Amino acid sequence: MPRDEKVEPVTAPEAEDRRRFLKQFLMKASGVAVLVVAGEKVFFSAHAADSEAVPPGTGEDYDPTRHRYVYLIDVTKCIGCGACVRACERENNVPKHHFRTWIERYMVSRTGDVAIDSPNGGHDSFPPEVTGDDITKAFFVPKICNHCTNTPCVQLCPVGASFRSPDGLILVDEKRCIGCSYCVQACPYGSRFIHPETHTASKCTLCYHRITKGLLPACVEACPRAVRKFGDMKRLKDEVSEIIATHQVQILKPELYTEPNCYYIGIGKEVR
Amino acid sequence: MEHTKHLWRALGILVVVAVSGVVIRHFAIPDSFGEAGSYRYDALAEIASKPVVHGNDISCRECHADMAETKAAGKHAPVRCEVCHAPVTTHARDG
Repeated sequence: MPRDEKVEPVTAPEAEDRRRFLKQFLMKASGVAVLVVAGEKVFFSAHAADSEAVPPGTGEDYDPTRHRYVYLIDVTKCIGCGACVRACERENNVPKHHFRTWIERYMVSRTGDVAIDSPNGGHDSFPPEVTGDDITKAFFVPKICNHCTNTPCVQLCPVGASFRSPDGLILVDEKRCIGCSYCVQACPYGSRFIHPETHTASKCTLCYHRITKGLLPACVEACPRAVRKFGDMKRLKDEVSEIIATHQVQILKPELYTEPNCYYIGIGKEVR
Repeated sequence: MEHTKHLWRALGILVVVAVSGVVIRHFAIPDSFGEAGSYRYDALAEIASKPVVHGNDISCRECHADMAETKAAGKHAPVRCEVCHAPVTTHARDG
């Protein structure tokens, strides 16, 4: 069968029908598309205007999505004075013998034996220690909540009281918390405790009430040796982000894949 | 047709369950829950509104400029005033 003969049978009215159908379809489709795009534009521009009205920063206009906090502890500088522990206690009204931050002392002997102590969390500094071993090195390791990205404490909270905020902190909603203490058991770093008065989980908030106002956490402020540093990954030319990006930094218990946001400088294999 | 009442009864129970479900859900889930994740978003503002206790050396210097100078020249230069003295808010609370 010749080819042009096959084209021929398409009669004029049929072609007309198809043309009309296509025309109408395209017009209607484009109409709907215009409506959708316009609607989206209105919707998103309203949101964009909102976010532009909120300047990046602190105080009343604080926008948690514009921050991503990190913490850095330089163990080589720490003298174990305990100023941070005392400052934290006062700032956050931490009950006696409970700690949102504490200091551990590691004493390593020549034979590799490690003695670790933390009398009253380092609150009253450290007494001279004589273990009887031939101690060849000793150092202090301040600890806080690691504000892990992939944290077990949030995953198992049955009521959604423990959560990870948009600015990267692990916080506890005291009104939701039922005090089951699952999170206290789950934290591999021992950063949580049940408050003896409120009977809810309590932990380091990186002084959320201070950092949202542009102040430093109390422990960072109190440290006389600049051991503790507080940074914001979303801030340009941030000192801590720069150190983390360009220096050898370590984290605690990397084998647990909790992805801590508290970094260390100078910790050895003894530190857990 | 006498058996249609069974259907109506089942439907009635379903409606009651659905309505009570919606009502319970309304009261059981706090207002801002789920705005940014499975938590109460208002908690962020509540935690952020806790009282600030410590200031910093700038706040101390406002009244004790002379002491700040002495300290800056001495061995205790890197130690914050509030580490040894009281936090500024407890110190200046009564004027």
